[in-house]
Amino acid sequence: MGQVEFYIVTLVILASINAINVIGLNVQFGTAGLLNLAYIILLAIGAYATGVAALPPSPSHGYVTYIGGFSWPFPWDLLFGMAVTVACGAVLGIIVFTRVSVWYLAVTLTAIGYALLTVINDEPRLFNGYVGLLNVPGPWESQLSQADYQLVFCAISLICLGLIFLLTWRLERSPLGRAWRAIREDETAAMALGKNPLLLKLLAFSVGSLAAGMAGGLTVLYLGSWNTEAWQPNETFLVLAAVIVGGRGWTVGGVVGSLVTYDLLIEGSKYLPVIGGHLALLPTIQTMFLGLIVMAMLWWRPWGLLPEPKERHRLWAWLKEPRGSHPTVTLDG
Amino acid sequence: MASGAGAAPLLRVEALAHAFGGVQAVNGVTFEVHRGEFLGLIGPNGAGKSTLLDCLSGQIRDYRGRVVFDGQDVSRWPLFRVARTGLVRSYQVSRVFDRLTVLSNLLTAPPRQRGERLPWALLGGWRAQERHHLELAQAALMDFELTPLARTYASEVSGGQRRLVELSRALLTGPKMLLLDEPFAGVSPANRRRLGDWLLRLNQEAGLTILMVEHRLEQVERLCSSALVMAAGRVIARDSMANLRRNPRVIEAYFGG
Amino acid sequence: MGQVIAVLLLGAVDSAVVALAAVGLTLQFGVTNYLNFGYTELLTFGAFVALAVNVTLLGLNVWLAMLVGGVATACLGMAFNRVIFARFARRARDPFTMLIVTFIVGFMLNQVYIVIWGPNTYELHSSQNLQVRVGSLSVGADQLFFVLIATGCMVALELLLHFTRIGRSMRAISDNRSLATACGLNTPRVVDVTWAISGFLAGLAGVILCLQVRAFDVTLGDSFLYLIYPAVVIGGIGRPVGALVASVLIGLFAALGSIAVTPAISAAVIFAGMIVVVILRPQGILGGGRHPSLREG
Repeated sequence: MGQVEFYIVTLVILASINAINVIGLNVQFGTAGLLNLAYIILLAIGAYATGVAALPPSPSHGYVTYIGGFSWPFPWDLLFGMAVTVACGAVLGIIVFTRVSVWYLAVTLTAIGYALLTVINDEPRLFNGYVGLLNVPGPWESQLSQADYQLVFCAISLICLGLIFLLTWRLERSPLGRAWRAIREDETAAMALGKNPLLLKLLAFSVGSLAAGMAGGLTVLYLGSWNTEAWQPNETFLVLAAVIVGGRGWTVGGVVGSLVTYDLLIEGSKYLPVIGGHLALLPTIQTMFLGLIVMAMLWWRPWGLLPEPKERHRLWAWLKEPRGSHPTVTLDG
Repeated sequence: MASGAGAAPLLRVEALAHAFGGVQAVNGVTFEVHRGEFLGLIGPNGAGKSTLLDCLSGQIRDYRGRVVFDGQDVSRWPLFRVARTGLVRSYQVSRVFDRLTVLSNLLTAPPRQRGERLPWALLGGWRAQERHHLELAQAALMDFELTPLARTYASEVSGGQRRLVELSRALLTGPKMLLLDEPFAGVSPANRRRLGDWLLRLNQEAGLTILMVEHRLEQVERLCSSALVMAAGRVIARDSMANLRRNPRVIEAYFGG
Repeated sequence: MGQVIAVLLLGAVDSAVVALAAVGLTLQFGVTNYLNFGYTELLTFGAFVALAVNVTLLGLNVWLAMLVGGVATACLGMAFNRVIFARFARRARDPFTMLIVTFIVGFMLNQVYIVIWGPNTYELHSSQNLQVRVGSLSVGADQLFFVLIATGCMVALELLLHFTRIGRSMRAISDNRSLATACGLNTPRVVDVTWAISGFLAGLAGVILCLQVRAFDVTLGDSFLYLIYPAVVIGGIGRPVGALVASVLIGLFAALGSIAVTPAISAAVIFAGMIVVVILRPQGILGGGRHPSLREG
């Protein structure tokens, strides 16, 4: 495989993982209105769980320590990671959703994010602390040539993207998706119609956690390593930017958003003038640029480049002509 | 019109009391509402009418006393559980789902939707029920000539139309009793008559029980068989409007010190 | 015994930092009705301004640098409000927008720090840490001063809130926003002052913190985030006195925790405490905080 093909395959893998990640936050925030500023910790949980499931037991001489170590093959390590993330997401959800206020949600989740970071960093017995997990075996990695492995992983990530896309697509077109949007718009009004907000929020959060766990698991399997550097809490910003820029509330918007922000960051960086030779500053400038774009979107086009469509299925085709005469009442306010 | 006096009341409120911010907003309220009644709830500002409604519907949960609806003790139940028993409320400022279309607003209402449960949402099998709900929603839209607005965002319709969307949406939940919080607020004078006609029809033809908080006494007079009067957190009278106008305690509550 | 006192003093300084920051944050929320999610970056700003005047540019005395840091952060806070936050707040129809905007501004501020100051660590030039005899022990005089300064600020704030017109307006808006607005109390000037105070407290907290930890970098503010936000929540969002009490408790607890158990565990316990408060007593330990069943926005 030539250099160019390798680059493209890598790009596809990373882009699809990123898209899966964005889809998750889009379900939580875009559709159900749950602003999870600590979304990145769900990704991290997925990565850590998949990692310790895939790794062999930690060596007894203890210079690399971590819990777990089941040596499970693909796809069981990934599925384990996803399951753990959903479970943790459910626990998190039960903690924060019992209180209605947006602020408690945001503050609590943010604090949890930083606290978790501190705990994992300072307690090496969990996930090898600051150094993190290393040499995580990818799916059939040892049995394939490097080129073949890349292609296999590419196929895996695309299949995963397809699956999660299908899942969320179906859900958001269903009455459940409509109920989610109802609690996003006005939770009290939704409750006045008999909707149970806690259950609905937990469901949305869990679906989002599933996606995040999948993305995290795929990341750790691809990169082979994972530590706290990879998930600084304000990384959530990048995912949030994708959701806002792309189109809140529907999967297509999320995918478009992930492509656009990813594209802006990767490709756009080639065209930005190098400032005084400080190449190391490039990521910083990129994210600042993205920050400005997001604020501009919030100001002018808060629903994103591709706002969610009005009707989620072709209801209008079913609307028939008015039949018969009813005694009618109109109010035009 | 009250139904047979021997029948059990649909709603029974016993010694309801609630205080917040050091003020006893509701101070021991007891009354009953029978099936088919159209009961008004009037009183001067600050009498505690809205607070009472909030308690009954479950918006406020830390009140004292008992609320029994349709034979079930729903005291201190949360808003959504109360709504599921058939006791449904509207709000003084209409609450609609802004970024859902009018039609979607109505479609959120029917209870026990299969498609809202995860397995069905995922696997399908909810479309037949949804089609049925769609027909109900269509009928509601036609009743109020809102059909051209079906695909408009609820945030973009006029104030009176919002009220209508909220009320017809409440109706689509199949309620046994409506708690209306000043339904005529924000409705233009020309349309108040029509709204009143509709409420009257709901009560007299469909037999829907209604408790209506209202400031506009002429509406209460036209629509309600009788009315409760609240002042300073207590119920001070319950009678037909004609009698209430002559009741010295009521007069004092409205106009006195 | 001496060690315990030293630790308690350490805890007192931690409390001081958290108190200044938490009170500033909760005060700003009370008046503006949204929480500044980039707040901890203001602490870092104060520290770096102090660095600039103390080390890099002017060689000012460290206490003066502290004052400059506080004032500069106050100005930054006011500027952010005027240029960005107030405009978005007027336009936003949901509480998410402000949350995201403040988050982004804070995030971008952090990026600016990285551009200017990079990954290096810095240290302020403080004078000799004088030892003061307390009974049979020596404690650092600086630490005592930090606590005194923080206490002084809290007292000054209380006086301002109770005896000045602007302070009373701030309390009125915090207690009953719609009523205060209807009475014409919710003016841009009051909001300006609120941001100035909030910024000043943050800047001050940042400088004290960087003096306390000695070596600091661009993550200074973030490192205390897990103490500040719980303090705000435990004290009841929007309730400065509650934030103060919670900060004292948290600071002491964190200090004791650092000698008794690992910092990881004490962080976990603090945050668990916050969860408990959120679930069981969301109006804060003293009550009177934003009641969570009111839909914000």
